[in-house]
Amino acid sequence: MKVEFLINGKKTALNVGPLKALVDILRDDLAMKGTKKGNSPAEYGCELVFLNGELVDASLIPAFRVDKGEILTIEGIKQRKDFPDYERIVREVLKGNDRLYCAGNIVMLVKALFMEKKNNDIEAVKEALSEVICSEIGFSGIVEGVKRLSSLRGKRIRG
Amino acid sequence: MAVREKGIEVSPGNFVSDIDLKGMLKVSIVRSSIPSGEIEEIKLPKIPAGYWIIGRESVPGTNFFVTNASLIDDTVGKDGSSQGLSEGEMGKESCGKYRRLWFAEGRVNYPGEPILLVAGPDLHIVRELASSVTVKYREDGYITDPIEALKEGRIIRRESFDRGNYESIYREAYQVVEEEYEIRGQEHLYDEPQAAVATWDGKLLTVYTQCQDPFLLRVYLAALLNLPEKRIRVVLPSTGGALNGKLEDAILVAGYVSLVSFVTSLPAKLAYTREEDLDYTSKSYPVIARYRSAVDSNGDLMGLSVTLIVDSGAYETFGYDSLLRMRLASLGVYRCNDIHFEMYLVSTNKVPFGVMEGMGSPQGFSGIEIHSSRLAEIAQVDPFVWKKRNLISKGFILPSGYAIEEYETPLLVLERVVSISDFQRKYSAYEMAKKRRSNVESGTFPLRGIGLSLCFQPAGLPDYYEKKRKSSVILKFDRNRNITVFSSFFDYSGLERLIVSGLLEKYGFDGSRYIWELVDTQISPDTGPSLPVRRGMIMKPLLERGLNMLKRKRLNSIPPLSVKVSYRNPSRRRQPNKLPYSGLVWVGTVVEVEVDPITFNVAFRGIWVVTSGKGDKLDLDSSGTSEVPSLISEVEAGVMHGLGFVLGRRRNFKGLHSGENSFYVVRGGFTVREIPLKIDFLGGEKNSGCFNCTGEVGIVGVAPAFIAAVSQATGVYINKMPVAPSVIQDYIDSENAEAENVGTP
Amino acid sequence: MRKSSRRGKREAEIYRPESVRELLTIYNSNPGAVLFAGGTSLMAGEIYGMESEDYRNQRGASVESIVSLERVSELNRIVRKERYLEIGAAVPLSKILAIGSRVIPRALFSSLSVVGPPSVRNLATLGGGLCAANVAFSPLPVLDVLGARLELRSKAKTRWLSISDFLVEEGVTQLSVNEILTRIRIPYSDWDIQYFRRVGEWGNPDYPVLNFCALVRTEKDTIEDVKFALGGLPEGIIRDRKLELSITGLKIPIGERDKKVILKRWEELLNEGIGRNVSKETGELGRNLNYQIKTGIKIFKSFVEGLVFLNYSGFNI
Repeated sequence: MKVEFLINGKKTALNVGPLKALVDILRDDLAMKGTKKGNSPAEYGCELVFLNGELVDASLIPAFRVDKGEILTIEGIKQRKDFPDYERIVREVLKGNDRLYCAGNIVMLVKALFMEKKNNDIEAVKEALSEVICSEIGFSGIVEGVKRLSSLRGKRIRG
Repeated sequence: MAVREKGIEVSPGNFVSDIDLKGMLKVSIVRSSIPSGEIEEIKLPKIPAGYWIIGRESVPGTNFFVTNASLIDDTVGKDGSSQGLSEGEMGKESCGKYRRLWFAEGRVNYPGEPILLVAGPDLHIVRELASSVTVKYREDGYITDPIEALKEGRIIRRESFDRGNYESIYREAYQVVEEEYEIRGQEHLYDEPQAAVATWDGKLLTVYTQCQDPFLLRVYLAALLNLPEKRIRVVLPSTGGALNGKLEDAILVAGYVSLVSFVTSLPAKLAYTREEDLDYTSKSYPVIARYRSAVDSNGDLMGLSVTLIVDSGAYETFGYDSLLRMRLASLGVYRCNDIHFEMYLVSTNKVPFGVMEGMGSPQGFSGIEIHSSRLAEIAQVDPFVWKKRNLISKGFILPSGYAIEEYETPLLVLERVVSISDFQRKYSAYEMAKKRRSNVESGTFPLRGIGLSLCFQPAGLPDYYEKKRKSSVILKFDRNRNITVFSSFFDYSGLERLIVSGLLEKYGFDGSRYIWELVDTQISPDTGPSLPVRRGMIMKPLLERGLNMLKRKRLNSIPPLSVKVSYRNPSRRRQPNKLPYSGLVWVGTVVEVEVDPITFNVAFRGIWVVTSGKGDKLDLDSSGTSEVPSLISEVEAGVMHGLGFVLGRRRNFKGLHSGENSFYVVRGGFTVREIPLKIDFLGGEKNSGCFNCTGEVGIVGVAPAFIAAVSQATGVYINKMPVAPSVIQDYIDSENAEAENVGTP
Repeated sequence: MRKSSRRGKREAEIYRPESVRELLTIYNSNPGAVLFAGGTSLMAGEIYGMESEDYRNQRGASVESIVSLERVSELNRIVRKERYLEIGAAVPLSKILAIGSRVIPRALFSSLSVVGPPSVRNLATLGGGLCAANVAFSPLPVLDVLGARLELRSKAKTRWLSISDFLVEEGVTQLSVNEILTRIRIPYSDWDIQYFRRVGEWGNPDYPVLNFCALVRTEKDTIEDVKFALGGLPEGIIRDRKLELSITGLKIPIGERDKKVILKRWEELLNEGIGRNVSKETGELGRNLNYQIKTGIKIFKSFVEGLVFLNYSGFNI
């Protein structure tokens, strides 16, 4: 079927099977490799994107659902003005290792927290971040990182 | 911090599974669906144009690669030939010794064993074709129970030794304590599933892989394809995590994809889905450990007998180092001169087991450290007091027969972890509460317990192996004052970069001006496998020597400058009983838990880890404040992995009936957020640290400390891992049933 | 228009009705159509024991038509009436939760909050969860004790069922051919105590899920009305009105003799609910059932014994 949607602000049209998962559309049809596949063994993967402003798992979204929708991926976030904030989290918290496989997902989760204004709710932060399964490093620094970023942004707004 | 990347579409943030090349074939593996049997017939579906079926017949070189043998036995050549084993000798009798096959030959020995490859431009069609291949088998009996495998004589390796006179010790002992412990295989669960890409242009084979040992991979590819090594180029773009699970499995994946590319002259890619990775890659070795100790009237150790039954799965793998560590670890750190030790590596009809983070030490220490907690309890003595009393001291050697160099360190580590966790006070409080309780299930108060373990992790790989491997590193200093590091050691956690930037400062170079060159066998020297245990012991000294040489060269010459440094075995006096490793890192772990009496869910009140290794402290003063958090982060990750052994979820091996011997464990369901974790590097100073295998210390001692804690909390002796609420319920039910039986006249 | 895709297989037809009437017309003429709400069950093949990719491919190949519920207005709205709250079957859980725990009964709010990680709650729907009939779905016992009713509609008729009538057993519901679940109606009522507790881990065979919910109305220290249910056992929801009635009128704290009788009955209920003698089951199934029964007994006991505290604080978990 033909699907038309906005991806990172750009209009795109594709011809794909209606049940093809969004993660496969991104990686195969659009050659956008930022959204990773299979980095969690949970019932659901951890391949996060924003669909119509909401954080969802791209492996659970079929093509027909994407039609007339708006998608924001990690590639899109990287182009935005506020990306340095998230990059800071990745560098600090992930100890500068932006090459971690889960780095993209962490950025998505942190961004979702800020978008939903839950960044100051510690329990919500912990719950959101528990979704990421990263085998390489421990996450004690992440909550701190979000706190620091929250206060930094707060300072910026207040001038 | 720039990392220059080369190659086709390879850039930061891109992983092997992200690589897409024009005209690339996707590969899928046709696998055995049964655990054991002869292949009678293979029926292929109609193959459309542009699609390929590739199997045994297409292999230009040898259909096997040697696993353990060439690494520990000098009489065995790279093809296993001097053992007199010919290619055809892979029947049941050979027990999968020494070799692993690329493609099954006439019979299959585990569910999932590769039989054929299907390749083509559309992955969905490839997978459909793969599932349409029909294989007719003549099934025969299979074994999943390692004890049964032992009884049937399916022994790949056996080892035993005696020291002193343990038999008479047992006869004279005040008390004999006999227990059996079991630890299951754990899935590595690296973030990025196995994947590889290969291209062959008629002259050069280029393989993009995640393999932790690219030079070893090159050797195997050369044998598989009958190509000289110089016509094979292995590149590591990035690895989405490894946990030491990207050795043999990565070699298999890279081999298949290379074969397809070689045969078709097209680029090829094989990327496992998560499910495929879970079902068909190796897990850590499952071990059954039988302990029989003789103790005196004080409860102190007099004689120790240990039998380890290690399940290798269908074939022997790269576990040479793991078995050695298991032996060292299982015999523990206590004074004992009367020892009996037996170890059997047996083969069962499961996916072959192999190396994981911890490399055998967690399995080994799980036995002895749970056991010593029991001995302490039976002696009605605080485990810290017991351990201190029985701890190895000057004039003694380890029960495994080796001498250690520093005797103060283990004691200091033990004392420190006990002190920061307030272990002794809590232990006696919980012990008293346990004794006062009449019924675990009736209380409304949480059940608490605390456990302690003292372990070590040898740093580096065994000396004889490091000597053979002759790792080296090249450093270049260019006109822009950048230092470029050329090494096959892969920087997948960022620690390597930190070591380098710290060292640069130390030797007068600019800490921010360095490049870690992409691992590429055409330009990188062989630094041996990328393992966390080798980082501090091998990698760092090489870097230091190299920087020192560059520093001196710089005084007399202008850039560009270049040095190559090779591993030098630290000169040691001929010492009897010398530990076959260059160093030891000691780890003390305390785990405090709270078990909900209603649900038997285990919550953590705290985990404390103290670690120290002599001889390799990095001076972190000049390198900024981020280094120690990085080390902490690595140890944290290790603790999570260690908890995977005890809290991981069961998952059945595919193709085997659900049962006691058909599962492995997968981490999940708990995260750092729920666990107050404190890590201390001995000394307690913020800037002290030790890089010796920090990636490995978290995992070693957590499991036995956890088991001891939960055993105290619930009042039952838990001997098997993993431990889940329904399992705890089972243990309590059988205790109650026993108590009832004892009561009846 | 049907398009043919690779290998001559026809691509699935996608329908996107905007009203229930349209939906029922389509569903009537395509009885094999797959109703797609959040899609979390359908897209995650692991639930069906198949590798996700193969599942999606196979499903994709065998599915002839998909009916997306995303645009059906009646299914996607939440209506607050005077005496009840109506939730459309295709409303994502996160949207229900966004209304807040002052409008949604607290126990229901708690049970919805524990479903999946946050990103799954953006997709999963209450209707989808009910129709998938997984006994471990946390809102089940809560909706039952709240007296929720489900509207089932076909072209021919409309009927309303209670949760326990709707859910037959694991994986099986009362939905008949051509019938769809459209709304979940939850009557407003005043409860002094709303207690919800979930135990277990989804997807962990050794830590099976149990969901317990209890609602109590008290007048000073007397229990005026009480309802409780346990979900997670294979047979569905465990509930006994007679037992509930026998507790009504008792004073808090419940006396020892009464407590003993109540607990004994509850234990019988769990064992009967299983319909078989647990000690005869072996292996994993036996262990899980044994754990669920024993833990179910302990949860209820702790609820009964904790009534005095719950009543005092008016608190719910």
